[in-house]
Amino acid sequence: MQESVCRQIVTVKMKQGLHLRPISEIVRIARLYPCDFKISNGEHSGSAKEVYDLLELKAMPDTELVLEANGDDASKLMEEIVQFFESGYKKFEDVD
Amino acid sequence: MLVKRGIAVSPGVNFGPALILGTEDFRIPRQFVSVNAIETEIARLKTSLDAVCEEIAENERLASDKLGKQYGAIFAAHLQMVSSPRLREEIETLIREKCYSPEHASCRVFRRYTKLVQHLGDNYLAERASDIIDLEKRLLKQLLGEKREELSNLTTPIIVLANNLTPSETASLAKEFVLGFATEVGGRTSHTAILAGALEIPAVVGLGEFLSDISGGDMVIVDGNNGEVIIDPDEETLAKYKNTGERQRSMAARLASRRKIRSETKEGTRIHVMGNIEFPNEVEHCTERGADGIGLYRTEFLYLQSNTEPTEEVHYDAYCRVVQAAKNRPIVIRTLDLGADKIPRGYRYLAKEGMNPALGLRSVRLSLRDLPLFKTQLRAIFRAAVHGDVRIMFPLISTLLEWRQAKMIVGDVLEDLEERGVEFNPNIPIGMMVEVPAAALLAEEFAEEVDFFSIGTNDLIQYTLAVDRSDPAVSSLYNSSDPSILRLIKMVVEAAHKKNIPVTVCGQMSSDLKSIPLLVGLGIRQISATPLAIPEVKEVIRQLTIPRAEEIAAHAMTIDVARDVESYLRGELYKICPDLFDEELPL
Repeated sequence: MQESVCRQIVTVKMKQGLHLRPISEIVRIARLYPCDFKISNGEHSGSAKEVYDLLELKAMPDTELVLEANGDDASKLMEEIVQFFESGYKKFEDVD
Repeated sequence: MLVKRGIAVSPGVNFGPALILGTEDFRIPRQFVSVNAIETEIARLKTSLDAVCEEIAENERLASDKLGKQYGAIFAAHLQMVSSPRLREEIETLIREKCYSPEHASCRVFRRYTKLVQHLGDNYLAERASDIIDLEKRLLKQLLGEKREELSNLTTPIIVLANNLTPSETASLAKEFVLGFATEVGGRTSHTAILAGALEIPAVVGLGEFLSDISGGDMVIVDGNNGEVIIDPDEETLAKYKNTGERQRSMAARLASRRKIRSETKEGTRIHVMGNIEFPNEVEHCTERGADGIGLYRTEFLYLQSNTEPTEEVHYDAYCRVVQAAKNRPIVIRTLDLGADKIPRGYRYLAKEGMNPALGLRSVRLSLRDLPLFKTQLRAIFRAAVHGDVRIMFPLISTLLEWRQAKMIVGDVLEDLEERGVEFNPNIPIGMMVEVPAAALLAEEFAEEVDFFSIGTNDLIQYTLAVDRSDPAVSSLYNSSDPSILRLIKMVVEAAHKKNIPVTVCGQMSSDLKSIPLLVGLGIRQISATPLAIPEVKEVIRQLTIPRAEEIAAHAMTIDVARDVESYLRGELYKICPDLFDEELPL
């Protein structure tokens, strides 16, 4: 385990924006780690462990989001979340 | 004050705070809580949130198992939303800082998120708002105790209001706390109505939409005598009802003290008054009110209480309990009287979608179509008949052929029982309900072959006047005082007398006091009424003489409009026993 801060920018690619299903997955992943993880759209910033915070981002397709992890295993979590935004979200696209 | 009219299905008057069940939009009973109660209210919120979490977790397990993991994920999202610390905090803050009730606070918070999602501007996302609405409902259900099974452990007296209640829900009502009940849909002959009568809770059904005009906790009067529900009554109305309630209670006590007196007219003509029941334990409701027997034992509950068809032993046990409780008084068991649309499990295929259930495969028609079902019931009846005075009655017989078919099956069943070597009583009276106009018109022919008639007025009125009384648009046509009904009853009674067979009237009309002098005057000597009405029916009979009754019947037969017959009968009843009435009764 290592203490660290890391920051990265991702683009929302989900066809429907950041809706409940992907939000739920992000929250699930984030809650597996002890570190803080913030997601911001420039206007709002919220915890990746809190559904309502992420809902409040109202992130539509092509929105840029700033990810910031702080604490134990920050880089590991960052890696997983970025991977989710890159491609992991796809398996949540078809399910309604 | 708002007065709603519906169908009175169970007599009596009661008032109390409303408890609203099962509406789509939940009403919040209280907006605020007292400062002292804040901690208990927050504890209640936590318990409810935890309960919702458990509920969703269970759904997630089920969905994952049955539909696959992706589907379980939907519930996983819900679970995160309910277990969210932010949600709990926000609701708690509203309770603490604004003294909102947990229900109200939850509503506020959820509504805000619903709006947020709806305003995301994308249809797809907007649809997701339904997820949040669903969560809100779940939480409110928990907070409000909307989980219907909680009806069985209420702690304060209430009036239950609902769109509809299923029979098993009605049966589970904690009677001591339910003061009355009122529903938007349902008719007088609906199962729910019958059960409410059995539980002896005043009830009004078929009120039409009214739940949106009322908040939980509002004062409500249920007038099961006049079919009215009064929401938020004014002082004067409430006082009037309090008064009526007291008078009815003292009258009931007075009548109860005379329950052992024989039911006979002033000059000593015996009129047998029996009870209509649904459950074995209701026999006592009848005997303690001085009934001469059970004139109608409805057996539908046996079929509705579980999802499997009742076995012969289930039937037999129920019948034996009734026989034992009746202590040698006669018991008339009516065979299955349900439509194929109400039958559980495998019989549904017989019910065609979109067909009119009242005119379709129901009652004895269903029994004749499904012989194993029919024979199972008949075997149990003949076996139970060893222990007491049991009689069989077939409902909805329309043609002689049907009657003969049913009798043939009785023959088969008796042979089966003989072969099996079990104890049974083959010599019991077998009669039929007269509730189809065709049967009434052929009463003389039927009277040659049946052991007795029982006139089922509810269906007879429905089929004669072609009216479904649960449909508010036409229910005013439904009237037991209609001249056509009086004539049909007269025909049946005359046919029965000619062939020397007994004839009973069961159905709602026989519990309607103003009809008693008329029925006696038409020649009826056996009446089967709802247990609650028995003391009053006997009281009317005791104030009656046969010549007077015959006079009333003769005059009623000359009137050509139902409404006029009705007001004539009401006036006569008032003359016969004025003390059964409230002074303000409109004549």
